[in-house]
Amino acid sequence: MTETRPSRVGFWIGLAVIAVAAILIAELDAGISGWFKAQGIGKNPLEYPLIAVALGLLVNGVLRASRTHETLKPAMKTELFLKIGLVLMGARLDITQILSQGAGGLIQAIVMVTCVFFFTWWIGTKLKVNEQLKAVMASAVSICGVSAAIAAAGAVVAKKKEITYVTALVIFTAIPLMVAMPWIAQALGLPADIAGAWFGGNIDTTAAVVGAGTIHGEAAQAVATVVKMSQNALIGIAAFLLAFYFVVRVEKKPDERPSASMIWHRFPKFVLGFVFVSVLASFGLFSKEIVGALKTLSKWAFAMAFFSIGLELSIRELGRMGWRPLVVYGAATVFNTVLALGVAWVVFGLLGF
Amino acid sequence: MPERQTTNQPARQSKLSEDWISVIVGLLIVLIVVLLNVTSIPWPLFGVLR
Repeated sequence: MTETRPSRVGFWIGLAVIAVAAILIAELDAGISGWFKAQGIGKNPLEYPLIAVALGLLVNGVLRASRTHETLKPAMKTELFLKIGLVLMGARLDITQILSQGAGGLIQAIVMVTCVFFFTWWIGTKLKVNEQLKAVMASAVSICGVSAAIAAAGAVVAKKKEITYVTALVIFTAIPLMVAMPWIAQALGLPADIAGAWFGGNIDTTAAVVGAGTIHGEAAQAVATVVKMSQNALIGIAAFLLAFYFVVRVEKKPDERPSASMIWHRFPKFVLGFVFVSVLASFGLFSKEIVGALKTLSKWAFAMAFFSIGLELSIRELGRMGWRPLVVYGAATVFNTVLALGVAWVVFGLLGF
Repeated sequence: MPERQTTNQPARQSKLSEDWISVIVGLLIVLIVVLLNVTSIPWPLFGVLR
């Protein structure tokens, strides 16, 4: 009881620090984008998630050095900020658009998610990575980065440090891919639709997918966005299947009978909010301007979440997880990159979607 | 076998409620934006570095 007051004070001070940091991140993002534009580079290669994590790490160091890190910890609600942002992001997912324009994107998404998920799972098993971390990694690489990682983490009850680890990997690998892939696509002479499908099928964060598409051109950006949206739409299915698998196989006790309520208990509920908002958007209930406003609000929530990730990162703790998860993630990313190019070439080139 | 500890769930209830809180807060924000017809949100807030 005596701890309630200090932790409440810590929460409000911490929340104020995170809110001020989000304002600073937005200012830095706009400033850096402006600087790149002035240099003739249309797209800022330093996306705001990277700025947010870097700033979070900096403040993390200051807080630990001044021994105030624990006091402000109650406000570091990374998952809550991410989930709120994801519910709002549902407004960007127009299911009717996916069904009417994105048959090719949907086919590519299903093939990619299935192959990459099981490849990551297989290599994770070979390298003896634990089941929870394997599930979070496989979902992040195969589906849509951070959002899938959070959904999977809820379904398999992963440790917080496992989520932080995978989230950091997603953010740090998305940036070089966003810059390198449009350049490689141009060097290979890929048509815009194949290039876009490649970006959408491979890069994990939505922001970086849009970024890569923008660097390549408008046509590539449109295809990249549809492919990415199709993958985002699979979050709910993946979360349900993972919750089901962990209840009936991985964590089943000999004397326990798996039930629907156990699966429901694990199912990440924010996915329901995400799907509900996307259904409303698909029925045309939101104007284009309102979708734009919700998109920016989700960006604010993500800025707070990514800053919190930087605040919470403990290099020592991540180091203790060893090299195996890093190798799994690296191999899965390479596999994803090569396969996405092949599938994009078949679906959008040979089959002509 | 020691029970698996998840730092985000010192108590199972707190994790569950956080999940629902995100749904409620997210839907409330959507409702407010739609009802007040908010058509633009600034990013950045001040634009001092632009």
